[in-house]
Amino acid sequence: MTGATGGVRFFVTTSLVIARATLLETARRKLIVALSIITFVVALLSAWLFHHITNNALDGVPTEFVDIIVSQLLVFIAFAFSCVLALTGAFMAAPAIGSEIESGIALAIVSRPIPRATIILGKWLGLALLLLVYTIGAGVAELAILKWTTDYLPPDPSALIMYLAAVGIVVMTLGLCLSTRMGTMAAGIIVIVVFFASWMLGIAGGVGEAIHNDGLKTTASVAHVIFPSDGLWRGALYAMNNPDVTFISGAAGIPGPDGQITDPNPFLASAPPDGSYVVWCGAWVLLILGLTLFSFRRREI
Amino acid sequence: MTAEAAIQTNSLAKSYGRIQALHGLTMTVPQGEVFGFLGPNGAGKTTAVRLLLGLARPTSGGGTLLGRPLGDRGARREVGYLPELFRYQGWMRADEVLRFHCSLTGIARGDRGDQIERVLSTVGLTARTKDRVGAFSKGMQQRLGIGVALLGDPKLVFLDEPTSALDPVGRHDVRDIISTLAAGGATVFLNSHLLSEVERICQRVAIVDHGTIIATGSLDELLAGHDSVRIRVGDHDDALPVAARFGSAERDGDWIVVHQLPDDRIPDLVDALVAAKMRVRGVVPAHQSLEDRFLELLDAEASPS
Repeated sequence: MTGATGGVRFFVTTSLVIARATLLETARRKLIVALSIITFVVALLSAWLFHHITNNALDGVPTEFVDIIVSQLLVFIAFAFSCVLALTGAFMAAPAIGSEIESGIALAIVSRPIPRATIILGKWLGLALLLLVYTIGAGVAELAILKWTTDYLPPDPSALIMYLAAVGIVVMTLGLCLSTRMGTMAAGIIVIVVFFASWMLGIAGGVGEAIHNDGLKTTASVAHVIFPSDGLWRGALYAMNNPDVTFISGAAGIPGPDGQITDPNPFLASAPPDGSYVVWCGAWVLLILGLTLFSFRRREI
Repeated sequence: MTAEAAIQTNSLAKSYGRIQALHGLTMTVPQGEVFGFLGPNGAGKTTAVRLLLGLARPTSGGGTLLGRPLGDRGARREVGYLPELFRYQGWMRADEVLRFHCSLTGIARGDRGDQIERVLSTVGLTARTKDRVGAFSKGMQQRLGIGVALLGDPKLVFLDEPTSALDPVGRHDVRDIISTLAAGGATVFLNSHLLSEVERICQRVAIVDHGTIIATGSLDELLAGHDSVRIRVGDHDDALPVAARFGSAERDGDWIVVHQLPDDRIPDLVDALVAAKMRVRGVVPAHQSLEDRFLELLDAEASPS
């Protein structure tokens, strides 16, 4: 084995050791149990809600209308779930580095013969894996309940789950970056504010689309590039759009200068994020990770 | 050819904004030595350790650790470190903390079990192997920290206030651990306020104040010329001029104190007093302790005249 190969192997192994410790910490601190219990309770509530709507409240209503109502309920549940994922990502990542530096735990770790990058990469891997597994688990459970109680499924369930997981990972990545320079509270609050600001700017962009206002549209587009959580949420929205709702909303649109009618509903996405935007989201995560590495390498412990 | 120094620094300096934490630290710690790094609070001791370990970057100057530049990862592979602010993952068990650090140190998987068992035994935590660190007392956490520092049989061990949370038994154990490390050829860099302990286990010391070394050398060198002797004789007034021939002499009640008199000259003093027809009733050599010398040096530093 050459020195370089050994170095790469040690780098990967150390990153995985840190990732494992990160996952173990969330388990030992009962975060996984707490999330599982809360998700189970929410799933039961939504099961009751969907069952009640389809079997009692909308008894006798044509299936197409029931599907429209269910699809809109799903949008709100998915939005709440995306907020839960964002908060989970922010609260897990914000203390990941900063609190270990403040408490002194980092002293014994950073003085070991490991590249600091392995600490960042390990933490990110652990948190990203947790968010991904949780989103898939909770998402599949919720969609299974939806199918079981209403016989309705959104057009692209797997894309919906992946976009939601990506929202959580984007928020977590920013939290981890800020954690290298800030205390837990400051990093957590900033990330949450940025997340909701991004969502609000996304809605403003939707309004801009509807009323053909270039200023609002540009602002939202720029926001989507700088912090892509809302751009990814739009992908999740598109993945669960009921085509009938898209059609109705589009029909109610206002003709623009070119005579084109644009979807006026800011809670709908009339088109999926294009491929280049998805690539940018991946690049954004890598860019912020790179910034995190740079920041932590420069940080004096 | 002389052996490579364990630590060598050359004008190592660190400032935080306008605060100069360390002014041009230049020192050499040979391998296999127990070296005491002493100084009052805020003197720059912990800053120096952090610079040596690559946890912070020097503003100027540099140095080597085990022959490699400061911050070199290869050197850190052979270094153990107990921070002054020792904290370990409270949600881990003691053996998990050690296994975690074994992984980070690159200790072969097959050797980890033996290493963990050995250091737990050394620091007296074998019975608490499976207990969560969060339930440990401060003293037990410090013992665990020492165990973490001993993993991988390091050639150089930094112990920053290693007995600050320990009871007398724990302090005795730490002295034994340091002696064992030294006997095995390891270098120990001991940062401590407990000067009586430093005096018992260190071969050489450096005293640092306001970021500068104000004295360094072996204990014998530091304390040489600072011994005194107390003599009790019948007639103080006649004895004082005789005693003054051997050093600075003064009355202290029924005693005469002769300062800066080496042990080997005490018989000469007694002979001179006897030759002057005086009855010597008592002779008490008084060695200056490291603590006294430390305070004396700090006083001199604070009020240079």
